Amino acid sequence: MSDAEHILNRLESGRRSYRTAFLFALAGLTTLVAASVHWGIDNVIRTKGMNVVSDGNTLAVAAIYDHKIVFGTVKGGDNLVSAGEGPTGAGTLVLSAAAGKKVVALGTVKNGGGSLGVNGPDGVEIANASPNTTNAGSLFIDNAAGTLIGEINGDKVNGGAIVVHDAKGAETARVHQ
Amino acid sequence: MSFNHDSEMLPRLRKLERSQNRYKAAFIVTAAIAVFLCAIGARKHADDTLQAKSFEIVNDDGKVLARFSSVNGKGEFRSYRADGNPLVSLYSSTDNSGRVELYNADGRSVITLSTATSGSGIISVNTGSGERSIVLGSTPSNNGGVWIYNADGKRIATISTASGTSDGLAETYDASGTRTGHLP
Repeated sequence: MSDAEHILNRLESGRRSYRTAFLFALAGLTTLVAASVHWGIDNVIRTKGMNVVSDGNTLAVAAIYDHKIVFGTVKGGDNLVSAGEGPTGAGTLVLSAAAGKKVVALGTVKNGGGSLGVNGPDGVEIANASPNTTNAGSLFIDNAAGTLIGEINGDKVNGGAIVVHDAKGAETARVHQ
Repeated sequence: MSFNHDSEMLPRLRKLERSQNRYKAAFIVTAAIAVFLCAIGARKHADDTLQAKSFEIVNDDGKVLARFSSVNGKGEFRSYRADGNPLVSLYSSTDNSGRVELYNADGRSVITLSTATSGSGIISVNTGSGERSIVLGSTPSNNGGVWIYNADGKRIATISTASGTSDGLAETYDASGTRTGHLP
């Protein structure tokens, strides 16, 4: 067998292994393409954060921030509705006005009871419903200046009371025994 | 090299050349596709819609802190603390109406936004143990009202309308349920 024939034999042998390698590569590429195409609907998608975007702006977020979950809708950098975890580990839900001021806040008070706060357009609370220190319900209403003008309150011993105050905070009427 | 050898090897060489040309072309096309796919994958892009039966937000330890899923054909969103206690739930009541529930640090429901049996909206603020404390909603005759309860769950104050009228009414009660004051 001549040298040329030897070389030719080697080349032909190499062609077969090259063909095998090429076929493997093609199979890998096919797998890659198949994986990039969505076939059906996933059962569960797990991630550390999800954003809903439109025209490059984030409109809604569900993500972990400072080791706590945050879920909210956003407009122009301001939160609109946001649900999360408060400093005591309780749930919070806040609704904000277009100007970014919090207008409704759901949370908890110190004794662990619920707290529903309604704020003015400046973000200052004007009404709050929450259990008082005796665990009876209470509802307080302030005027725009922050003075208490109405309350519904009570306890187990004295029962309920509905009290109205003037703009200076002085009691002007009461429904009680 | 003899003439016979040349005439024998020439077809083999031509065949080999054609084969190599084919594989070269195929390889170039495959490489181009791979580069294209890698470029697409590397580009930061947002899907128009991401569909799944359930979405989960997990922390670094793999614990689920939020779940967006469907139960009994109805969608719901629930968030949790890292220890698994619930924080906020948006889901639906058995009557298929929407419901929002907020939990305190002990995992008890302290605020509920829901619908009453009449179909109107209702807000319940509860004590730390989950007993109702304040209810804001409407009467069966669709008048607004506020109801306050003491720690034993007894109603102690109401602002609403008198029965059979649309006039405002304020009432207070003692712990035994006896009316202690009223306006008008």
